Amino acid sequence: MTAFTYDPLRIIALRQRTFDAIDELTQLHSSDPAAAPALHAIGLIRLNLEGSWLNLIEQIYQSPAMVDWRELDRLDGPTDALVRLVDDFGARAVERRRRPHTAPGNLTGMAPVQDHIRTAIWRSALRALDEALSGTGSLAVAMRRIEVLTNTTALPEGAVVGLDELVELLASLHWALAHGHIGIGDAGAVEDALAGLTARAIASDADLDTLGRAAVADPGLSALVARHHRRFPPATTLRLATAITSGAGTNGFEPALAESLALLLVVIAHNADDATRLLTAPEILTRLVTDPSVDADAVEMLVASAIGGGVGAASGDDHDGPVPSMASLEVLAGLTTIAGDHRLSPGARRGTARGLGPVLGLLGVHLDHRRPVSVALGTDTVRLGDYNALADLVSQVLDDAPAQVALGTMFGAYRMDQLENVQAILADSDGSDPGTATRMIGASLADVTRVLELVGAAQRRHVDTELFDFAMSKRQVQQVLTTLGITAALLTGPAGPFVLRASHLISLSAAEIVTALTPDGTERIGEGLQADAAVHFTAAAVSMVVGPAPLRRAIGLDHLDDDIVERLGHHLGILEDDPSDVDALVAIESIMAADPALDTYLETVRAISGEDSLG
Amino acid sequence: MNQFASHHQHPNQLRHRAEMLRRLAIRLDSIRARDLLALAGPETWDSPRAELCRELLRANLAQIDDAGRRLRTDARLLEDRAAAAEAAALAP
Repeated sequence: MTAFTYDPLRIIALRQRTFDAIDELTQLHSSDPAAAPALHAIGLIRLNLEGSWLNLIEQIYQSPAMVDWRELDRLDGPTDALVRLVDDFGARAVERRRRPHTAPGNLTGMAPVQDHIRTAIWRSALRALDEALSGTGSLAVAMRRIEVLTNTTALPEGAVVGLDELVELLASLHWALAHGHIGIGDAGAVEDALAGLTARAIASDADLDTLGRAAVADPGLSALVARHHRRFPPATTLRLATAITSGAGTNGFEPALAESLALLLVVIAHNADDATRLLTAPEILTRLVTDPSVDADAVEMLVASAIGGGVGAASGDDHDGPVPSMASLEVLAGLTTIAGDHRLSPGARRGTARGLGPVLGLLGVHLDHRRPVSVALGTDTVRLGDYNALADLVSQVLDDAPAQVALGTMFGAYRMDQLENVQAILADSDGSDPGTATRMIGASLADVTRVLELVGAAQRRHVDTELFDFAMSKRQVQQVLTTLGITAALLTGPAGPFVLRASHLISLSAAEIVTALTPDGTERIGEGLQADAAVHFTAAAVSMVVGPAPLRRAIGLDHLDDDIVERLGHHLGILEDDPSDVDALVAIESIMAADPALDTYLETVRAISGEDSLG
Repeated sequence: MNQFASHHQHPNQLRHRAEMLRRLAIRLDSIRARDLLALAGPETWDSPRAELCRELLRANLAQIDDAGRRLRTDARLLEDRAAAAEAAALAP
């Protein structure tokens, strides 16, 4: 491929003069036989001009570089900054007239020449913009030139341009805006143009590193990327957020940098994969979820997206429902670790609360207070941490009012789903095999119980959880009562006298719940009231155990010794007379806890009733 | 038939032909194609292919120069013939 250097203005002139010359030669005629040799010579020169000359001129004239140059020339008028082109009819560039003449024999290495020339093109546009922003040039001219450069497909990606210059221009833009040299509307257009130039200037990882360093030094640059993030590769926002987070000092983020970082985090949060990618780096996660100078709303969105947004629709092996991604579980594991040593920021707590919702189904399956919590997905396993560490994390979440509401709502929705499953089981049962129905209910609600136990463990860290209780219970009290009623009817069957007893206790507790959760009764939500409700639920559950033997068989407790049944009945009678008798309640719970089957049964009923949520 | 055609042409016709050949020669002296060399130097374009174009144009212009000289020579021959024809007609 032949390389050319040429002057576009002269090429244009040469082209026109060649056309003129051909026209003139075409008009030369003579019928005199003596003119035949002259006409032959004229024919030869026409053949040369129309063939070799014009063919070559047109190749240059129609080449991408020349097309761009002519476009600039048309828009701006003759520009002496871009007057010499180098073209090999495929890869092409522009250089300044002042550049020393490049002999054809020296064009064997075109790439350096082209890089140099590309830089000249870009700088020409940037210079025009700089002049416009400083008030010495026309903004319209600069914008038209930049528009040509950013829109042309002929300019190769990765043209060399100094990001430092773009940063300076951005600073100039802010200065011009502050000093009234440019209006807000124009400033938006210039910023958009700068975003386009910056995006075009990024061609490699090294460029992204450069951009990251520049973003730390100039918050305006990362804000620009965030506002125009669609122009940039996804890796750009991640890289900038990482650079800013890593590069910030120990005293927190400067307000302007924090604001820019927040914009980036919000952009990243909209893509769960990006969010998890950012937060799987331990040092980044630690900084973002513990530094109170990072925007709380942005962190909330980011964490919620990273934990819960990466949940897919496929079913896992050991539970029904959506499956979290490994990355999202790794973020949760990271949060668990951090929560053991650091105080999470409010945004992190709220984001964790929101993010936990979608993963509760999987989490419940793996919760066991006797061993570390590990979640298996396929052949991979993520160790979330010790049970107590997870409880610490939940405890921190509960220690923030909005986070508590969010978590309560999430748990409530999760429990509602499980209760609907239970209702479906009960609805399908004809009562002929209540033992099987009970086991199915127990299996369905075991996960709920485990999750609620985790919350209970967090509660025992002296966290006031009124808001959690309220949020979780408010939406589903009717669901709980319906389920309780169906359960009681199924389990008691024709045992008439017992039905009355159980119904009385259930109604009593239900009335307490309803009272507690009605708008008028909101203020009444308190420890004492919740304790009463808990007593009634426990009493209701125990009343089924001490009922007729067929009922115990029906609920899988026919192995109980008469002594246990008698002791439970005794304490239950005390509670019926005085629901505030704590000793009786403690005695009942001790008896129930001592027998694994009774303990499981009580957990099941608690899950159905929501008793745990009430304290 | 040779390029000077008939010997029966009238001297005025011969002189007219000579005049036309000279005019063509004069036009060839100043054709615009001659300016192209000045416009197509290395400062306009530079490459082996551009140099080839210039060489071809130089050769073409040399042919044009030859053609112009030949036109002028032929014009003189036609005028000489016209003069000879007039002299022959006046001869007793």
